[in-house]
Amino acid sequence: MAPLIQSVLHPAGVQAARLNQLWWVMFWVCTVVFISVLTALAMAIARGRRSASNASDATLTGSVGAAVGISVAALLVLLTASEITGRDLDALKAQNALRIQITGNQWWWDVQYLNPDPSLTVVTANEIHVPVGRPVGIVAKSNDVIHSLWIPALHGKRDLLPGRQSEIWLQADRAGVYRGQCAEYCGAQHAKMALTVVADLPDDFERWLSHMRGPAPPPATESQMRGRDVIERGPCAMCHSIAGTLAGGRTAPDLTHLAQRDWRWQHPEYTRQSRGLDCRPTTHQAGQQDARDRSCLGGAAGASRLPGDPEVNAHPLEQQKADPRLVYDDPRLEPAALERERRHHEASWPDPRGFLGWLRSTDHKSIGLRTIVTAFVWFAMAGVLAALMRLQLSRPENTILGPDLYNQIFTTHGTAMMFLFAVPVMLGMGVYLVPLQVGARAIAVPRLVAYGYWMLLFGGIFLFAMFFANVGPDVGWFSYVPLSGPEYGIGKRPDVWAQLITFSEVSALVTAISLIVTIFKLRTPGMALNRMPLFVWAMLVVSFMVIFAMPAVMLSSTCLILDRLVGTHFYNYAEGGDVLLWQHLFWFFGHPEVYIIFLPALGMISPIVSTFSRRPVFGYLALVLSNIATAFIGFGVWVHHMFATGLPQFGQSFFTAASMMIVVPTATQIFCWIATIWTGRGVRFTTPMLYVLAWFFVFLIGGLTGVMVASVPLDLQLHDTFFIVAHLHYVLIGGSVFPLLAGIHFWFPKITGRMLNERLGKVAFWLFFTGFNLTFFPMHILGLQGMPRRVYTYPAAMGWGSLNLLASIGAGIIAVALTVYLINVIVSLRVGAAATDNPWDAADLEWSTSSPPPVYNFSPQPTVGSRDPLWHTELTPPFVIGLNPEKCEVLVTHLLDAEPDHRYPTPGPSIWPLLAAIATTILFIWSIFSPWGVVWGSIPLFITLVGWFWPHRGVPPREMERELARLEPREATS
Amino acid sequence: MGRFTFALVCTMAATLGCERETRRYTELPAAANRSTAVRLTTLQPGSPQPISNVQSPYQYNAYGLAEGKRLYAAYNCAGCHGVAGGGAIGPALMDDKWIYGSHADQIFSSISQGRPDGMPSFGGHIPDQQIWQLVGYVQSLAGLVSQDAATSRNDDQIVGKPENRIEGTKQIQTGHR
Repeated sequence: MAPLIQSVLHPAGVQAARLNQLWWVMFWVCTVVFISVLTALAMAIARGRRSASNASDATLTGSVGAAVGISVAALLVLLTASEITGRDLDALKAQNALRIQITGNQWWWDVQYLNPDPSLTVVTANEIHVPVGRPVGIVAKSNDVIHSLWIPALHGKRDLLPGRQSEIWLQADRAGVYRGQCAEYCGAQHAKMALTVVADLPDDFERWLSHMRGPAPPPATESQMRGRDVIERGPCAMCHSIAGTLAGGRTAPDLTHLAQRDWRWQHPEYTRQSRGLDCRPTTHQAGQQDARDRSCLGGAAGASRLPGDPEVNAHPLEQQKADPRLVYDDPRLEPAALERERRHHEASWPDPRGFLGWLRSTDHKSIGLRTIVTAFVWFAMAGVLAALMRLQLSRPENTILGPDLYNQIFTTHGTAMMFLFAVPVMLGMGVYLVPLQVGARAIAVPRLVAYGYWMLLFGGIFLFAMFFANVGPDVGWFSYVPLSGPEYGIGKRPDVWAQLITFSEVSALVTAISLIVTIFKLRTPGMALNRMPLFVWAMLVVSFMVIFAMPAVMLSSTCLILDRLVGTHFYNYAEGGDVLLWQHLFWFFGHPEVYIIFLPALGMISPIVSTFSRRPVFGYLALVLSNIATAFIGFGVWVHHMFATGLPQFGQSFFTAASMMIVVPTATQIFCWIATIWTGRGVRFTTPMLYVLAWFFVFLIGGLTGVMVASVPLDLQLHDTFFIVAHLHYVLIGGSVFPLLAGIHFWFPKITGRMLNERLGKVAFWLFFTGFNLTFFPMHILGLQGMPRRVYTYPAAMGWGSLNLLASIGAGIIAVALTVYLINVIVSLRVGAAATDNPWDAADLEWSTSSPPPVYNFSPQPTVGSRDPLWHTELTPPFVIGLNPEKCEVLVTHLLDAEPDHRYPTPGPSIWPLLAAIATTILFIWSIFSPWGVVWGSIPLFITLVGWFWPHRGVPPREMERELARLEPREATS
Repeated sequence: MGRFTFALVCTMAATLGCERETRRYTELPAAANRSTAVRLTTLQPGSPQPISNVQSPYQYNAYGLAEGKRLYAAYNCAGCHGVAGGGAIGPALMDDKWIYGSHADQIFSSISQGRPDGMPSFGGHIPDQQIWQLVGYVQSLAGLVSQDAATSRNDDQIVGKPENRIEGTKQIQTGHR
């Protein structure tokens, strides 16, 4: 077992010891919470199986309230512990400290022991010596991009920002050698930017310092003489300095007394890395591997020409006065009349066939389904990239992937997963399910949704085509400036990232708008806001979050493109810009983004828990309010991604408290679901339910590690390590993908008309559950042992090899699990059992129509009288009548109580959304290469929009008369 | 998914022949190994020979040009030629006057051999690869490389147009002092 010299759990200094204490407080409190909640869940399952509901709702409310109360108390304990530690650390500053100045460079540390007498200043590199027992004040700066100085055995990390100066105070308690590493991703060779820290006894330290003050000893032997000649006459002296020789370069590490440095903890390849110059002894192998000839984009691409469709589609008729009555005894409700109406719908709702029809479709089910499928294609591709990363990291000093390719891979993986998979797949589920769940015939503004889909498709093709052309973004999915800025973001790679963001923003924004309009205005009569299914609530909240969060990243990525392309100075600290501005804008979007992914998943859990516990979900109001509370608090926690940049004490307290507070609504939801299971009529262990039960396990881990990193002092140790990688995969895969896979299983029969195979489903589930935990749980430990994120390799001496290998094996199991899942989908599509309308005996409206639903969704359109319309049929008034079945009309209702307002003919299929998306794609890609792309590219976009919005004649007066006569048959006859 | 494949193929086809994103960390591009007789003057006996058309191997390569820019600062070229090649005690590099020629091989020999009245000879002190990178950057100061691949502004105070906004000059004059 290698010594853990970069470990959070083996502190060697005052500060690190305090942080270690805080870690254990957090760990034990969180462990107790974890075990308690899982015990409650197990008891709920056992109880629910034994007997039918025997607890009254009042008792339940009390229990859930108490559980939430206890959670709040636990959070307060942790908040207090965090505060005390934070203040203690702040107080640990001393007057008579040793001052060291450390400057981060790509990719080495410049170290100076400052002295008022410049001749006594000691300059060295990549190694510091500190005296035991004496406080050390480090003044840290950066010369180029953002670095982060982290010596886990002595203190948490601190970001070094160009143009600013940070202070770090630390004190070593025992002599020894420790290792520090740059924790913030800083470019190609980030993985190798290490720092050796030698804690000497005070006497040894003074001896070392005075030795370092002397110049290099004069060469004694002939070979030493020759060596000095080589250094002074050759290329070395151009960059390096050696005191006592002519070598005086300042752009590379100082080499004075190089032989006395401890090299054991540097990466074996270190001396051959740095800038990749061929003045080094041998060539940089990893770099060479990357230099394989891959070519790149030469011009606007990604858009193949498609035949235009000359036909102009029927534009919405004028809005007409609707029939505002709910009738129970109308002749139009007779079975024969209903069947006639159904046939009318069959004839009138357009269901365009063929390839061209597919391109023109505006049916929300078709678009929703293809969004889901497309997102899963990107998921699979990004998943392959993840597997490649695990392959590279499976053993130390691996050379399968070089830094250049690895960095492109992890950036493309993160970007694709967040922007092309997670958000679109959730919105796609919403596009498919929301109109069905609110009992609408169609989604609002369907052409806009189609446009959103095409933008997602082209964006994804764009990203992956660029990746294969060696123009894959390589600056991390957060693209921090200045690394992604004009000076350090070389080539067009960061532009590809920034434009992909634009694609996904446009796609998400238009879909969100459509969902909001659908939910507010197209709910079927009777579905008041307080009867809306919880998935619909989740999508409503999420759509608003999209609308408020996306503009921040739109703004920041536009500024980035402008900085890069035309040389503006938004992020240039030397001209009044700010590098932290990027981080604030990005995370103001980035954190809500997490909830944009997470809330729909919670929305899927509610119906699944309710259906398979066979009772209405407990605490409807609490669940709805929790959703909304999460959305609000979610906009107030973004700074917790930036704790290491340095915050004033008040800011720390505020954002720690806010980040912990967001646990409360989520805890409330968890307790409500446990209460539902507790009082249900026995859990049915179907595959969807298994995923949801596993969700409790994995999400709790992710949530509790989230509480840990919400604490500023502890986060300084955990930030940018594999602990965070573990945390974010536990909340994103654990929190969202588990419910998503459950949801696919659950709604598959509705979408396809066939059941998924339960046996294969359970095999996939257990494989996925095992593989997931095997992959990501060891990463917590790796993070605590000091392994930073975004490193493409690590030295064998660090002792991280076996846990990494374990994680890589787990990744293999995940791949097998998802393959089984895919096989299940493919096989079930062909030979799966035919699904009935409501195979799970669920409660929501989508289960009242056929599987798969017809183009017009419902005939007749149902109305609702309760929250669980299919379980309370006695309360359900009959159907909506009075819509013209020949005109593809939807019923627009009032916002709060969904009373009928008016009829509105839904726009039919159209090719224009596709053409507009192609024009937009051309504009976006062109504008990467020239600002004129925005000007000239807007012309085709304008033309397509004109075609899209070309006005049509209103309703002829005679048709209007016929309409009115048809609308009011009884008035007409009386 | 036929459409998808088709679009992908189209994109890939459009990308061939461009090498902006290649990152050669160590080796020289093949184009750099050509040896030519470099002329330092336009005066020739009889009818002038055709001008050599050796191009900088980093003409279209973003990484090489960015490295050139970094080295321009690291080796203190700016000390004489000005921060953005505006000129100081050394001649300006951003204008259209080239005393010893504006072709890549001419600039290469200027850096490598040095020139009278102050230009040091860097040959042997820095690797050829770096000289070629500097050649690329120096050319970009006058807009002689692909704007797609040229560097943009620095995170520093404004010293002029970023290299990727500089249009190439029409009239190159050689031999002026």
